[in-house]
Order: sequence, then structure tokens, then C-alpha cells
Amino acid sequence: MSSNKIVLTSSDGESFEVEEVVARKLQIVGHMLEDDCVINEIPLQNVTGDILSMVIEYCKTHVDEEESEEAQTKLKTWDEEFMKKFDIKTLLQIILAANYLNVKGLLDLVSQTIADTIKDYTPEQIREVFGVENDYTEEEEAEVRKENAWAFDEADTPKP
Amino acid sequence: MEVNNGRRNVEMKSEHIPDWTKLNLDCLFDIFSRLSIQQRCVAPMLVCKTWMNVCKDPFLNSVFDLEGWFLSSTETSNRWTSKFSEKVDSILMSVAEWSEGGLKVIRVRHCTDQSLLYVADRCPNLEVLWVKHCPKVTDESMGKIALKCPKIMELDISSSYALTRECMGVFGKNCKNLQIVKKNYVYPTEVSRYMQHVKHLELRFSTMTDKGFASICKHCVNLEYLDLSGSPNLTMDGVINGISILKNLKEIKKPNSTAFFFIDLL
Repeated sequence: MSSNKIVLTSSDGESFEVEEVVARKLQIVGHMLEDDCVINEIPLQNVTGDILSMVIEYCKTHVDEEESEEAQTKLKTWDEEFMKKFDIKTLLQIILAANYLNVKGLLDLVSQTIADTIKDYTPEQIREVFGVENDYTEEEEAEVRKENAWAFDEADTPKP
Repeated sequence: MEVNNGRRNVEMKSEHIPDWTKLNLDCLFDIFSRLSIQQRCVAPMLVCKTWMNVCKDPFLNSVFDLEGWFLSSTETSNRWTSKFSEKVDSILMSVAEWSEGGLKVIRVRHCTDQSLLYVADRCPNLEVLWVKHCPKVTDESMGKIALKCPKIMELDISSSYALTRECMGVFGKNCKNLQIVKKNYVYPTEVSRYMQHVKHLELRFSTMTDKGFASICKHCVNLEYLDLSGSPNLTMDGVINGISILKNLKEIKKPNSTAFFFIDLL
């Protein structure tokens, strides 16, 4: 593999010099490199420096994904530890970045972590972390709750 | 989010504040697809209208699987009430509607004919159907499903005792892709006569005899997997004789785990 260096610049002007093989883990960069062969510096306008640095950390670790079971287990452990570093709000930033930069493995990892985290949340908690406004009227919300009542029941608790 | 790949200018659309109500639908779909239908109904659907619409998208409703939910909660008599069946029917019908014909997998318990008749009319692409522990499900709805859902590959009707051999007959006749069949208290003829293409049979708690089993083996020559647990009338010799003609058989579960049938048939 070429050891050509590429500079990735975040929306807030932070620059990261990485090996081309690492940069190519960001598919968005891969596509640019295919289209224009001579690019040394790539501006990434939808992602801030702190988030980009985490994406790069992931890509560096996953740069040569070996097939062996041992290597896979090691990566999996690393992934788990990596995810533990972030709170839910940061995870939301990372998933947006992974989606925009098109880093498939990271997207899967973060998406699963977010799903595992929010599965026990109440609607109110979700609104809070995602910053989403409740646009239901009281009546509408009651209606949806009624329709979904089956899911709230401990399958077997008899209703009064 | 599209990348504007001009020949020289590489420029992305910019979004300033992530708005999880409208944007980032790809990510939302990805996250929601990792939640069960029950988990989606408890919170995400109640967050806002946009999220509810995402939850109702056909993409997220091609699989209706309540098995994990049933297994994770304790079995009590409440499940056998009409009220409980109504709830199960109601959510199954909703998912069938949301799937816009794309529903492929149903794993449900305690539903009734009402929801299955609804499914038969709307889900021609159904491939997997588990209706275990559905005492109220009859040949009427299952016959209609067999007619209208010819792509079914896997059928589990264990402990749904209102279903007769007629049901097996219609499935055998109309669903030529059927490869996996699970049913307890089975009559050998309903298998040997109607299910000759199957590869995977789970026939637990059957009263069939060696003779009946021999006829199943004679007709279902493609069998790769057999589960005969809890079938007290089968003898070891009978089982060994029967399976001797099954060239593709890979795995078998013995009729009984008591000392009488101690030899490992493989």
C-alpha cells in the first residue's frame, strides 16, 4: 500500500494528516481520490475536529482487518471499549459523521450501540437526547399509547 | 446526504444543527431496524409524528417477530384470554398494513383467525409463518394463507390444536417451497401424503408408530433434519429402519431421552 499522506480538515479548521489507506476507510474520501487523482488536502465540512479525530481513531484501528478469529475477537473487544468512552449525545454526533463520511463498520457499531442504549428509554428521555420536539396533541399521544398498549404490558399482567 | 462530486470542486452540503426530526432518516432507520417491534412501540413511536411514520415504514415492517417477547416474559393464564388474543391480533394487523405487502416473517403466538385472514389478503410475500400456541386458529384462516401466500418456506403450527390435517394438505399442495415444518401430535399420513418436499421436520410428542414413521421416510426422501422427541410409540429399530433410506439426513433428535432409547442414532 502506498504511504502517501492525506490531510483531512474538519469544519472548524482542524487538520489531521493520515496515511492514504486510513483516509480511504472514509468512503467519501475514497470516492474523491478516485475522481481526482491529485488531492492532498480534503475539507470535510460536516464534521467537527473532535468527532473527526474519533472517526480517524476507529479507521486507524480497523485499517487492516485480518480474517483470523483471534484478530476479529481483538477488534471486537477494542470496539466495545471504544464505544464505552462516549455518552449518548456524542454517539449521535459520531453516527452522523460516520453516515456522512460513509464508514460502514463504524456506522454499524454506533448504530447498534445507540439502539442498545435507547431501548430502555422513555419517549421523554429520547426527546431530550435527540433534541426532538413532541408535536403530538395530548389526544393524539393518548391514541398512540392506546394502540401500542400491548407493548407496555408485561405480557401477562391482567388489566384492571 | 449527497456528495457533490464536481470535477474539481469537492463540496458538501452543509447542515448546521442536526435535526433528528426530519433529517438523518438513514441513521434513524438504521437504529430502529435494530429494535424489536415491541421496543419501537414503547418509545420511538411516541416521540413525535415523524418518528411514528418512520416506525410504520414498510422497510421496518417486513419481519413481525414476537417470539423473543413471549420467551422473555413469564407464561401465565392471562395469555389464554380473548383479551390477550385481541391485542396480538391488533398489532399483527397493524404490521401487515404498514408492511404494504412486504411482510415476510411472522412469528406469533395466541393470535386468531381474524388477523391471519387479514394477513392472507395483504401479504403475498410471506415466507416464514410461526403460529404456535394459537388454539383459536382454524383451517379457515390457515387454508386461505396457504392459497394466497405460496412462497411460504417455513411453517410452525405446534400446539395449535384446532388445525386439522386439511390444513397440512392445503399447504402441501400450494406451497411448493415449503422446507421446514414443525407440528406436534402429528398424523404420519398428513406428512407422508402432503409434505413430500420438506427437508426439516420437527414432530414432537407424536403418537405415531414405526409403521407411520416408515411411511414418512419413504415419501419425504429429501429430509435433512428430524426431531422426534417425545414420541413414545416409536422403537429404536423402527427409527433406524426408517432413516436408513434417507440419504440426506444430517441430524436427528431421538424419540425419547429416557434409558430405553439411549443409543445415539448417528
